[in-house]
Amino acid sequence: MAIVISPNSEARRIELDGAIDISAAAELKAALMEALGSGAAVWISVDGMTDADITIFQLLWAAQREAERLQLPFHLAGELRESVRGSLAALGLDGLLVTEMREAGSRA
Amino acid sequence: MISSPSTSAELLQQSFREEGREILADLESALLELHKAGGGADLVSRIFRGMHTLKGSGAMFGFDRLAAFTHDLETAFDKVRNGLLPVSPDLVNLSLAALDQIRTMLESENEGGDAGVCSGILARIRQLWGDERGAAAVHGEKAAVVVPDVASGPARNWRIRFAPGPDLMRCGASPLLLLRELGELGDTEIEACLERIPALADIDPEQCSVSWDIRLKTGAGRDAIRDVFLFVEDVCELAIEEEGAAATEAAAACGAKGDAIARGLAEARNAGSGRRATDRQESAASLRIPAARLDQLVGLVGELVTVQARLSELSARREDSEIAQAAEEIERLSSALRENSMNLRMMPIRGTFERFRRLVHDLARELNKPVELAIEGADTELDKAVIDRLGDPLMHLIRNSMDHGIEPPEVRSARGKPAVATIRLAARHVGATIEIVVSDDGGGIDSGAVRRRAVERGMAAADASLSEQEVLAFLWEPGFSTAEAVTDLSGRGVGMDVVRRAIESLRGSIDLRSRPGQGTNIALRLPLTLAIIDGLLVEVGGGRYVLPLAATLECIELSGAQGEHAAGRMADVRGELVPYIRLRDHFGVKTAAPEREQIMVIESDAGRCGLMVDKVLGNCQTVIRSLGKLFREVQGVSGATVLGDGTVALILDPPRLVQDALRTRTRGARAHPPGAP
Repeated sequence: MAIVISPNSEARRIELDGAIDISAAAELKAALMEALGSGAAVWISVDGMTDADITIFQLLWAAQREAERLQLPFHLAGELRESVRGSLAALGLDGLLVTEMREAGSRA
Repeated sequence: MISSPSTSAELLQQSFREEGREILADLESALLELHKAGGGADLVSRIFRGMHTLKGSGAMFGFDRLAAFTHDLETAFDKVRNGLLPVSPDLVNLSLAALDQIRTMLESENEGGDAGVCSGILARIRQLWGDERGAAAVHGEKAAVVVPDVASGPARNWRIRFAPGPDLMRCGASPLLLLRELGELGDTEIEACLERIPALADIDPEQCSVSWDIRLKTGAGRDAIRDVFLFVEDVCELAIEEEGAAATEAAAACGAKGDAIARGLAEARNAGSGRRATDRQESAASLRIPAARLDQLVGLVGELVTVQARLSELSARREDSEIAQAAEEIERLSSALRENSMNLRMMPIRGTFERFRRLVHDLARELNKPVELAIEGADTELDKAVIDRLGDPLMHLIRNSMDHGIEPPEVRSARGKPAVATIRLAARHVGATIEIVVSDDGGGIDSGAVRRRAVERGMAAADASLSEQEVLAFLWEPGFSTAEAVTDLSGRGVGMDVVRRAIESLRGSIDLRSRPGQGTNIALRLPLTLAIIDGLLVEVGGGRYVLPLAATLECIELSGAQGEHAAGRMADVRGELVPYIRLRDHFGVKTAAPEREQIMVIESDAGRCGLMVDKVLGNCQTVIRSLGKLFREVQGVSGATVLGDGTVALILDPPRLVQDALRTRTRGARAHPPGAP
């Protein structure tokens, strides 16, 4: 599991990689707070995420809500893996995370 | 990359291993009780819950094989619980064998365990309830893959509200796994409620703020549904309600927010489930700490006690009242700290004792000797360091008792004894020591055979006059524990020197008594702790020694003219003649003795006796240090300590000194029997 933060002036990008669980929740919250506090667009790359638990899903949902409040662009980039979709479905959270294509110029 | 990926998971797995060991020990104990009782709803329920917790926690912490294997066992006990499967010796023995496999899975890094044995056990367990399926591929199978055989009634609709409490995630539970397990019971419609999720800035990232409303259509009953949440009951709100029922029967609410009725129901249920409610209270009030940290703490307290002794020594020399006052205060505090830190390491001997139930059960089957293990005083506490080193000697003694002490059933019948033999394992405090007794109602020890063997080995003269105790003492000698001796002797002899060495290394003593045809009684006397003791500092021939305070009864003064009697050295203690050992002579000190010497009276296995010293210097807190390999064999000395002035004093072992003196006297008597020229 890894959380990689790539700041630049126009956007904050956070890459979620591997299975991410409660042990990384505090770190992810700090990263999301920093990204949203910067006033830049936020891109969360989720296609490397192999699984996640409820603490991660609720953080992403709260961040999305916070971005709406601040009227900041907030994107979940990439395609959710089957395992992640399975976890979301089992938790009754289908449709909670709506993803879109990567932003232009992002890393593969 | 800014996080360390595996540490947390490893810690959780380690935590599960520790919990798993406790659960396995309890399961083993409960199974043996069940075997003895032949049934009992509370016991079956306790076993079921233990297995359920193992399975659930195992799956949660990544022990998938363990979880899958435990699942079928759990199913078997669910059937027992529901009256579909009777308790039988086969079920108990298979379950015990299964626990051994689970233990192996728990302790090995890759969840080892013999796949063939596991499959065989599961196949036989399934056969018990008429399921002739071959054993499933157990290893590598996820717990969630195995569909529980509980949804067997008519399908009903249930509404379940599940709201994790603040600590649910922190204790390692996962709503995802719980909901998946619930899904195994039937068709679910799951609706997540996100309203309670705070704003991002206010979120506690390790707390689950989502709750769920679930509709479940299943043939399973309320108990089966509730069992899914069994080990998170106390960290969540849970309500289970059957749809269409005339009244809401049960709102099983745990945690602070349930209403009064729900709480009442939950309390009633907890009371019904026996020990779980108590366990929760205990776990809430206790803290799990690695033993190594406690050892470190006691080590530091030991250092503090040594420095404090030095401070007291300095303050006595300076004659400064302010320093003296501070030194006294530090002495008082270090003494209290020492007592408290030592208490942290005190634990009941129950765990060690209970382990032997399984040993006796297995040996009884193997040797075809029905034996019951009676345990007394299991709550007696002693230092963990002592407990850790007691397992092997006790196992030797119990094995010996089973192998050689207990007669075969037909012999017992011929002797008019009950067919089921009894081995008794008892513990009690005696002063600052603990006494552990291993006794049996077997055939006792054939002292004639022991004596013959001792003569053959040149350990005693053929015509030596030896008491029963002196003869039995040969059993503890090295060399008596050979295979040859086992064949030749009808009594014990195997590995007893191993036991003696283990007990002596703990500064303990052994008392062996046997009555032919009636049984054997072995009493082990051990110190409560091996780390720090209260001592009396004494002087002998210019050297300083520490006598454990707990061993001493009183101190008397003796002038040079007193104490010499025809039969040896005896002191008159208020009209009672007490034999004593003059340590000057014992240690071969040649310097002139003081005009008045002092005798410390002690209680030993041989009765009251005295140790004569030049002078008693005073009390001291004594941090026990090992003497090292070079001096390990020195008789009568159990360790060393550093005194306040930095010098080293040896810690005397009064019972060993007395034994040593008695042995010397006995050897003298053997070498020069009465009447010999």
